[in-house]
Amino acid sequence: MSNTEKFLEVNRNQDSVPNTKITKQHNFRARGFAVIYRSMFIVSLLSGIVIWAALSVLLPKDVASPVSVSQALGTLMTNGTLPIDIAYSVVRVAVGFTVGLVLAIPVAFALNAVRGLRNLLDPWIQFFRVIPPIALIPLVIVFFGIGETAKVSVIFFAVFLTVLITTYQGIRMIDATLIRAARVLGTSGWRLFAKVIVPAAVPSIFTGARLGIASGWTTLVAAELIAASHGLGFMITQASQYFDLPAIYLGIITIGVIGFIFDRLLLRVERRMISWADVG
Amino acid sequence: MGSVDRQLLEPTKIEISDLVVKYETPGNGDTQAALSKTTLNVRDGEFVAIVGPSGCGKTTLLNCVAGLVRASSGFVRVDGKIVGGPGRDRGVVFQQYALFPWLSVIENVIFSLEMRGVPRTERANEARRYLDLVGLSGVEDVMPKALSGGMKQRVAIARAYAAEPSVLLMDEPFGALDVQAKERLQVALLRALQLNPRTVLFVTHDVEEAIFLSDRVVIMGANPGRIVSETPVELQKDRVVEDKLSEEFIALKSQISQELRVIETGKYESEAVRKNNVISQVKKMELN
Repeated sequence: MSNTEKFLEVNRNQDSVPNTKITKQHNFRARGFAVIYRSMFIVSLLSGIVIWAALSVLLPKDVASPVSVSQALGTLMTNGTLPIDIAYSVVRVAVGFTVGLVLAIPVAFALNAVRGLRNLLDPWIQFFRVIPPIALIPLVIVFFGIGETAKVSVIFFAVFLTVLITTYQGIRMIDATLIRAARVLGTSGWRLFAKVIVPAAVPSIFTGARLGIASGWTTLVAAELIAASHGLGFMITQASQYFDLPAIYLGIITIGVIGFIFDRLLLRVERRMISWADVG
Repeated sequence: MGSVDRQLLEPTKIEISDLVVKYETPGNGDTQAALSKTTLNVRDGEFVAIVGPSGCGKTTLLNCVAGLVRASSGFVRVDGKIVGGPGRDRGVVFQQYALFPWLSVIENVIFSLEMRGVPRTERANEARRYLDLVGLSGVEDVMPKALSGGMKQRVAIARAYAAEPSVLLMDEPFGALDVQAKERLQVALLRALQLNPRTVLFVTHDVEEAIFLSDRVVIMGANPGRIVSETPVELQKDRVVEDKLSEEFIALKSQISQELRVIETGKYESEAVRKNNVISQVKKMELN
């Protein structure tokens, strides 16, 4: 073995294997933090309930107590109205969200690929972006009445625009060096699209989806407040007509909890699918 | 074999002829030359390093050979074919590694094999061969974000090699690494080239690196970007890190560093002269 070869052998072994010690330590620390974070979540939840209880004692006319809200929960669960309202709301959002997402993604790619299309559509996207979807509800009622189509189309509108804008901007921000690296390896056309642009865009599609479902959910509840015969928004409107304070609080809390669950579910899918990216 | 004989024997691999690259300055529509008439020939199997101050167009020159930047006039030929765009015959290693973050180490190399049309069943074994070439084993399934900079760049070199390019173009590949990793990578690159020789065009701002790796150092100057001079490196082929301490090496390093210093200060001096002229004119006006 020549001197050079010996040197190369030594050199080869130096940084060819990842430093397992550091990796393990890092995992250990990460796990430690995870435990703290999880317990923080419970602490935060409990203190929220304590503050709520205290407020209900201080302002009994305006704030329903946790106990009365639990009672309302029990009643509405047993007579079946709450599960039905939840089901109506969730199904509406699911349909509007799915259609909005499925249509927004290809449009976002097309806008990036075709400059003419971008110039053609950009003013309209910017225009509709500043209109809160709720403002369209009266118009939607004129078009579709107060049936399911009306609610679903408002959600679709909200989700579509949010996902489109987020994904479109995400695709635009794809690291140009990655595309150059692929091109010098002989990648072009649809292969460049399928093997580089699409995977590189996945994180921004997820960001778009999470923002989209939040926007769809808020819009839905607003739509149900105005025109519906079922759903969580309707439940709150009805409760307010009878001045059933615990039911109003229950409706609001349910909306928040379900929105939170939606977001966590998407985050979980995101973490699983794109573990390579730094997902927050 | 002396370098003169080699020059006669080896055919030209990369031919850069009267290459000019102009950029349009945004806003006023003026054109600025990033590279003024540049001619450079690289022989088959030769390692040419390009050094120069920032803004001298060394990266532009490399990108032109890669087909990533279009020539305003003149041409680049690789293996006799005019460069019209990026292609698999010219492998590029970027400073920012540019690994596909959604693919594991081995998948990054397989990407390259797939583009070359290597049959599916042979890809994994082939990929391991290329990773071995750059001294990487046992990290096949690791994702790029878990790798150190040095290891990322090894993967990038393996990926470039896997395309079996005719030339390797390297744009400050070790510029972002710490001193130790940089030295290890330099040795790893020399080893890979010994096992699997390629013609290399290597851009760097590190004079020592340029000398250590190359057969010839080309020095470029800025405003406008141009080749100022070139120096053959007549060190033994089989290089080790210790060579950096040899008399020959140090002499060559100080010679090239001196040339670079002249290019840099030349720029400042001409600015200083202009300023002095302005001052003396102002003084004259005051006297009048």
